[in-house]
Amino acid sequence: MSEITVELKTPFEYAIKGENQKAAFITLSAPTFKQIDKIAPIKQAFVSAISDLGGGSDDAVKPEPGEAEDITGPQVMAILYQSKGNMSQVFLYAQALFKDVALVDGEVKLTTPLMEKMDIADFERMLGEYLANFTAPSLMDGL
Amino acid sequence: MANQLNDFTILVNNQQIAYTADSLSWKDGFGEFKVRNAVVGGGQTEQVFSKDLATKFGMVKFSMPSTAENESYKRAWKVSENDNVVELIGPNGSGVTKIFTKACILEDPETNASQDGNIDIEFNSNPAQ
Repeated sequence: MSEITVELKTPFEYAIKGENQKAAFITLSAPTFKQIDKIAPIKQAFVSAISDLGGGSDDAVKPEPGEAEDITGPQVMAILYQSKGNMSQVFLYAQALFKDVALVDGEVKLTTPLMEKMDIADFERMLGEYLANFTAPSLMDGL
Repeated sequence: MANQLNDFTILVNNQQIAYTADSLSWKDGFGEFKVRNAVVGGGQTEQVFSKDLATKFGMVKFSMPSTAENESYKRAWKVSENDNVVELIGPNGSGVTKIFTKACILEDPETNASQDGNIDIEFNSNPAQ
């Protein structure tokens, strides 16, 4: 899976081909090494969050075989929010990452001004789905 | 107390542009109006009002420092012909936002390469939304 789409619950307006139109979805492509400086701190925050939830014990949050692939975006965000980590820093890394890997309606780069127009819930869902699809499975298998 | 509107954000094709202070101006694109008098007799006249629809277009004009990034923007906007969108967002609390669709740069924009040089940009577009 090299890309996923996230439907927007609250569409925002963006410019395309000389007109303004409402965005319906965001296409997210898998990270490459080019984005390592942005994805690595987010992965680190996610691993720390799992560790926080487990209270440091080895077997507290160990997924069953096959469970790792089933983790959902909302679950990822819940884990992150329950951790002691700095979520605003995670969102800043996510913003930098999405400038590289996200396309509005699969066509137009998701720039910072466009992200600032996005509903917070949509942005959280986007981050959650990204981690659930592209980073969580490999990380959970290794825990 | 009223505040002068001089701290706008300019977005062109979803990108925020760093522009030279005090260089931004625009026309909403109401178009020009004309009035003339028709004679009704007895020294009396009647006003005839008309709208010059040929002048009903928006305009956004600003300068930006002559940097490599801005030079690249200038080229991209010119090449895009009339497929640009310019959005002006007023200072927080002003409630002023203007969107100019189908914006194009009619002239060949000039870049000044001096120490404090600028690139002068003028878009013509559909009337502001």
